[in-house]
Amino acid sequence: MKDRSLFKTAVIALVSLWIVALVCLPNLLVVAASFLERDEFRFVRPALTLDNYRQVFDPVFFAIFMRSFGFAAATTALALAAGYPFATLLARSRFRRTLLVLVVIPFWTSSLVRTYALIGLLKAKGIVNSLLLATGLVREPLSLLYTDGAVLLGLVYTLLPFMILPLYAAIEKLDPQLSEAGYDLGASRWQVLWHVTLPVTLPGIVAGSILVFLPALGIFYVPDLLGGAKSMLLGNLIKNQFLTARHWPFGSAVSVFLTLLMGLLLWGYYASLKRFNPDLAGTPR
Amino acid sequence: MTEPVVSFNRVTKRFKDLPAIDALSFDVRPGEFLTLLGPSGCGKTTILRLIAGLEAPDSGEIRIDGRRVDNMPPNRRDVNTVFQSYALFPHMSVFQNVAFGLKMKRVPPDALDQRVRATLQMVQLEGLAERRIHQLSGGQQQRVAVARAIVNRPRVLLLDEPFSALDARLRKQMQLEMKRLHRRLGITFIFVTHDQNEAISMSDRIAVMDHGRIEQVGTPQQIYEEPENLFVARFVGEINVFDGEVLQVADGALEGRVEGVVLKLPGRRGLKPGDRVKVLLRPEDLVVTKEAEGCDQPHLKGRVEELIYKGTTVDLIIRLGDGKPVFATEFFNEDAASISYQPDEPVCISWVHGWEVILPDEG
Repeated sequence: MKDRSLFKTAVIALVSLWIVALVCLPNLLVVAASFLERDEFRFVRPALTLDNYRQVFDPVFFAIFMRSFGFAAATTALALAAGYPFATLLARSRFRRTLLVLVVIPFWTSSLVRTYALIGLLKAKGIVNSLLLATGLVREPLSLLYTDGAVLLGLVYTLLPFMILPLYAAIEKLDPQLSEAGYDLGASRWQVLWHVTLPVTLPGIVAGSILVFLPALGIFYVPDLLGGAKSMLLGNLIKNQFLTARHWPFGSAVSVFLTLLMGLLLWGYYASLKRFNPDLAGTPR
Repeated sequence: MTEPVVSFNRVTKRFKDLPAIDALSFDVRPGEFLTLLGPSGCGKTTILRLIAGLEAPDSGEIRIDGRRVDNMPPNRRDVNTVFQSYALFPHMSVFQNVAFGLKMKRVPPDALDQRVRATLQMVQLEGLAERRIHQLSGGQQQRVAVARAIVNRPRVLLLDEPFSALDARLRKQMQLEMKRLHRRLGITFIFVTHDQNEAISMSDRIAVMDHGRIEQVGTPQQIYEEPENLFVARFVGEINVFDGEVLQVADGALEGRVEGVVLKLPGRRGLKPGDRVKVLLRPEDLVVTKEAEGCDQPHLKGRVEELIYKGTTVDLIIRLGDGKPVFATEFFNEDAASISYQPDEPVCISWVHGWEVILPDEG
């Protein structure tokens, strides 16, 4: 008994140490840096300022924020539109285990590598254009790469599994008799979807949307690789401030702003769960 | 003869090549309380799902009010179901659950509100309209499920083992309430259960089912007192089955040998001397007397093996000479001496002539 509590203490201590050293401290450093001034040689100068935050609300950067939000929202909407029917098929399929593995397999390859693969598909002499030329559908190669469409495709492709998995969990739990009760009471297919299936699987929809929306704001390599130099999103902005512009305080301020924003969204999610979950936990026997 | 409200004509439904119901034909009369009674897997729930439109038949015709509905989707049928698991919408309040069907039919808000409130009152849930489903007890959820179906005033209400999740006391109470609702609404009820007591106490007619076929349809009394075959006899209540052989047939009566004793039996068409038969008697129809006190004719002889006191009755297990056990239920009689038997005491078993049911031996 005593050994056990010792083991427990040791494990908790180790995990706590891990979190403090590798999560809390770096974040605190970022927060601290965001209030300091820029220094050409030592990155930051120990002088307090709010200039970095003022810069965040500068119209130029605000435009980048809005653009990022637009991309993240579009990515989420597309992933939801593609993921919901897919997750439904998955939950109802006899081969669900196999299909589920197929959803997870891409995770075994670095998503950076998979983004390069997308370049191979989309570039001027890439697979898609070669096919289109060979079949005679187009006369000259389409410029697919380095467009907003390519960025969107890359984001949806990379993040789709994060939408599918929570949706699958929610839809699989859904009692098929609920839909049957809907039909029995005179609802059409669309009415059952709208009034029964979607509301009951709402926690899955919200969870998937958050898991797609938040990374979509922060991922920098997808717009970097597929969007080219013109495509500036929040993720690239932060990366550039740290690695290219060497403006650590401003990069930190943007990071903090993004973190607060994500926190706000998560808080909204939990608040909505609180409203919905007790009802869903109490499904009749 | 009024037109049946639901009618099946040689309907077959297979699941993975196994027939769940097989060339089934039956009619449901308008306004009746029909119970489909049978062991689990006998196809009774499949029948409900076929009527509701949640399954389509492989062959045959299903009619509701004379209209063929084989391929009509469930949302266009004037039929509502109370599901076994209730299938209440967890994201809606009690009121919203009950209002769902009316909302789908675009009933104007005033009329909708009034009808939902009236129905909630009918099932004694008027104070709980704004509650969420998970805040209700099992019995209350059951009432919501019933209210959600009857608020639509369907031609037929389908009930799929609606009380199976309730405890015995609540079950009794719901049975009574359901009976009352049936009388008050005048809707045709089709009720599925595997509980014979429930079937007998609630139904106008019972259809006893086994392996996708209807074995017998009749009033509870017919089913209990005149079972048409051994399955029905054994499934509904306790019954003693004696082996017998027909010796003589004479003007509507039989003489037969039952468990080695020659007896007069009521006649049955189609039997001739030499046929093997089963003689069925309910435990409460048997009269047990001590051999020492003299026996009525006809009788079988045996010895008391077990005596089980049940409060209003005493159950006896009597072993016949050939080793066959017989169950007898004796009611206390205020005037007679108390029923007390010694273990192994020799007794006679007799019964009122004509109460026995004779069935041909099906092998």
